[in-house]
Amino acid sequence: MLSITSRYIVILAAALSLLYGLLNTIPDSRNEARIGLFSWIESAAKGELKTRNYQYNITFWGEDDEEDSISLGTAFISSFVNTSLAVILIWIVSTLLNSALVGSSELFKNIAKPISKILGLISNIHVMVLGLILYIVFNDQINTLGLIVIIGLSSNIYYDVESEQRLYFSDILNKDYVLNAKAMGDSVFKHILKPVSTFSITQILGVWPSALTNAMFVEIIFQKSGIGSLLFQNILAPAAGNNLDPEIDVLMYVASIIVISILSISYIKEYILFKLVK
Amino acid sequence: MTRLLNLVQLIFVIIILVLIIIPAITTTQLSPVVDSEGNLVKNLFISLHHPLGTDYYGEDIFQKICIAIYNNIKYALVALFSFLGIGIPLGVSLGFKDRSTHFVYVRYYFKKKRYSILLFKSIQNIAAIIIYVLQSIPIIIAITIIVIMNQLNISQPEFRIYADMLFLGIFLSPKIAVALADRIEILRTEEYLQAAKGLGISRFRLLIRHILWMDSRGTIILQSMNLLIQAVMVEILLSYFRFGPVGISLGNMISNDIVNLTGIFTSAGSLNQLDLYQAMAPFCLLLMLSISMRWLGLKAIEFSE
Repeated sequence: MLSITSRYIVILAAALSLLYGLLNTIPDSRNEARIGLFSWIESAAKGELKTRNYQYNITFWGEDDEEDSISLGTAFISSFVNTSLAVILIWIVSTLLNSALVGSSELFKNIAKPISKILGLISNIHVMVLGLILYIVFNDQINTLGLIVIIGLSSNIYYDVESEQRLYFSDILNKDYVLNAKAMGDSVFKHILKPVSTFSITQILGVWPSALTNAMFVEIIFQKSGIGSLLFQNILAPAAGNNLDPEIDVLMYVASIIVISILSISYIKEYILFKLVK
Repeated sequence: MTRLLNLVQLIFVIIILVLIIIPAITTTQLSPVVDSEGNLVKNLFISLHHPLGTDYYGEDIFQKICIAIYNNIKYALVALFSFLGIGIPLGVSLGFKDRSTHFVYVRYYFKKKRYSILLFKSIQNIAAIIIYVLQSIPIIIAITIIVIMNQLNISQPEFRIYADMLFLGIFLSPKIAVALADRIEILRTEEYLQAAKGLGISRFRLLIRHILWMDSRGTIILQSMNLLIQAVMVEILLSYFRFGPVGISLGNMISNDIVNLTGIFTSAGSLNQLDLYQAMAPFCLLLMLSISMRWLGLKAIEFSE
């Protein structure tokens, strides 16, 4: 366990250093010297960082009535909630379809098969293409459910979850102890509950980073509140317009929190697997 | 029978792709269509010589799309170059030896003076950290950083897109590295590889010929297909935000024409039939490419196995 923790600390340090190193290569129009990484982390934690253009304070939780500060917390919560809901939604849909396909009557199989095929085909479309097509149809009038569906479905996320889960289901239902329980008239569900729930948790945690990337793409396309629109407003739009400096500290702040979140999710996943093997 | 059917399907998709790629490579210059009196032929309807008609500037839309595909393939190949160049060595380093790196084993090898194994283990650990670090940064964040970095550091706009793609390949390389490492791990216990080792085949030959070419080419092809799609999508994203290439590309065509398309479903304005063809063409192509490339990659895996 200690080796997993130490490995993740090394990875986090390396990732933050890489981000900081890359962002340090971006020239500052005011020629101000950049502070070191540790000083930067300290300033970020205290809420003492300021934006380049309007000298606003960058904080995680800011007061709404403060006009000279930019708070990033709501954007993170919005993106993380959308991502988590999308992952849970596709997991539920995938579980229902796979349950019908693997262990139910012919009628349910015949109903589930075309639905699974169609969802799989849509899932092969990249989030950018699906997002732009829906942007053409709905403009920016898409609701939260629509966003969640695009996040969970596109860029092969649904396809990967569904195919992996189906393989696992058919594998576990043919295990000796399950067949034995079936022959003895015992409940199969009772025996497969623990391995299936462990597999599902690790699968949900594994797919979360890819879904977060999808969420950011979608937020940029539809200009919905979240990390994507935060990146667009503070970094991409000023850099494209050439009249404002891109807010490097906002980008570093956003990137650091995302990296920490993704590594935390991976850590929890490895921890669960480690405990399971033990 | 199923194998034959798969082969026929594969050949069919390859023919479609060749039909797209060959005109894309042969058509490199866009010249306006003029009539016998030298006037520009604007907004021409679909004809045999101009399958998608001409646009407001008298340019053949089909020819324009071909050039866009050619340019996009060019950019994607730069990404593929760094993707394979970084991803394959990382994957091989990660998977070539058993991944357990417990301190007791390290001490044991050190005591037994097995320095070559220690060296392998060190390379493996470095590769694992590089992969984890690159995986922990979402691609959209990576793209944002790369784009701003190149925008402000590279003065020639035509070179920026190549630099962007080069970095994109590096940031996406963990995908092929992990897939390859997993594949090599499965292969390690295969009897024919043990036999090849026993016959005295060199490690390099074993790696290149047997592991990478004979057994992992399906994985490499599938990952390369996914990368090509991803590179096209990133080019579109960059063009959408005015960070794209200077010339004609799918991204530039889509970002210019999306205004025309949004008018179809809203009451924003009347849409000219010819504007619709022009705006729809790159979208249809992209949709087709997005579905067929993944399908082709999966078929390539089946075929190679």
